[in-house]
Amino acid sequence: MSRDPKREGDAGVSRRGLLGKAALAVGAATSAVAARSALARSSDVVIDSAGRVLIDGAALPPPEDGLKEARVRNRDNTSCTNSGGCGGGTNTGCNNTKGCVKSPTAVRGNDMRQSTGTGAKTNTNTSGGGKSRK
Amino acid sequence: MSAAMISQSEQLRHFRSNYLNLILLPTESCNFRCTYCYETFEHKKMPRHVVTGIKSLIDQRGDDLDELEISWFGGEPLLALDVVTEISRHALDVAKAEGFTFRSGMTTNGYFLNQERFSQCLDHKIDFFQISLDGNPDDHNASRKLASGEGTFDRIWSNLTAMKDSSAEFVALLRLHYTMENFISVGQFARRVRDVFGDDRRFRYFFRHIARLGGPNDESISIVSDQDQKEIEAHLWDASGLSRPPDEDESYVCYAAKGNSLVIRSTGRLAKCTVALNDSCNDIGWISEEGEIRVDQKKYQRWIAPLVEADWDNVACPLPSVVQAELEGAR
Repeated sequence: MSRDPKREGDAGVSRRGLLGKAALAVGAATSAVAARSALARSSDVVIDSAGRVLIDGAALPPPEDGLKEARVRNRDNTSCTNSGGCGGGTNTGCNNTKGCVKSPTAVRGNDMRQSTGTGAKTNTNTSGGGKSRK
Repeated sequence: MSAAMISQSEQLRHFRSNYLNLILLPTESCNFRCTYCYETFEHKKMPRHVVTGIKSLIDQRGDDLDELEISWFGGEPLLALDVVTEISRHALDVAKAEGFTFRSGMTTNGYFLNQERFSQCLDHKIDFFQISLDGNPDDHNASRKLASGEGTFDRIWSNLTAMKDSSAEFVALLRLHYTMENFISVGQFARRVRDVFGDDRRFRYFFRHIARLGGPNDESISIVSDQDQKEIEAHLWDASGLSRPPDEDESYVCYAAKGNSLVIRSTGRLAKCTVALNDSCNDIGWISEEGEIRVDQKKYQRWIAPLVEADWDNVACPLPSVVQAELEGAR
């Protein structure tokens, strides 16, 4: 069974080869304009014995009024029939068959440069399955 | 990838504790022996204590989850359908009792996905299936073989058409493989796919080249450069007449980079990546029979570092950065 070749998660590939790829990835990054991280350092993030992510010792709270917001967001995406849940900002062209949610950013009318991007990104299946499988 | 496309709200979503993605390998056995496969099939069906541990974990998380997503993987998950249905049933029950959303999908070779098993999956809310095809029957049967060496195309195709004939709601994502040697015929085959499934919105598609993923036959696989991939896939979309999704793969974030995503192998060992299964950097811990997660935090942090620290160029595949960090000995 093949797994996602594009991701190049090559188990048997030599580490030298992987390092080479890493260097190439860095080299290819010049056109990227990175958004500022909302988080600090990875060393501040741990996973507890129940699989919860803790940042500086505490779990991130759900988005404010998360459930209510999700219902609103679902209503905003009635035409969406994508293969999995998505959290895109605009969900333009999205065809979700499952729950599809606009991002809080989009719902609140914030910066659409970011939310357009999340739309494209998250309108793929969000499952670990998705396209990253065999 | 387009690194600028990840917003802070999207970034945070992958670290929230109201969502959990479990990628479960109910068995690491497989009835197939694809010529390019990297898996070893060393670990068999998930034993009872691991099943119990996963159910206990779901119990523990019931009150703080808004959404649980289980992605079945393997090996071939349908070889351990009893494990799949037992854990799924438990998750459904807890989801109902606690009021969270439960979603589930499966990556399967499709060989055993007959109508009965398909219905069983749907009954357990597994309604997303990813299935690979390696081109026309001759090409497919040459690479996606049973362990006995027999071809598998006809059975899979039959199962897919039966799914199409059903009235069920599901998504079948067809992963259409190509190589440098056969992409022309794959384009012709994809047109056949379009003719049969193209009018059914439940079927989706994407093209991927066969790559060297660590299997014993890697040397025989032609490398497809990034530029060739782009050109070949543009050709395949065009030749097939299939509808190309907009901005495919733009800003993809690998599950391995997400804080709230874990792989649980059939042995109970924990991982982040489903490809680097034999790499120590991906062996991050284990789950106990009581459902306790025991993780080497440093290893875990290396996987999530690209997403935490806005290293957007490594979020689509953190593996190279993880290997590099491990070699450097610190991060």
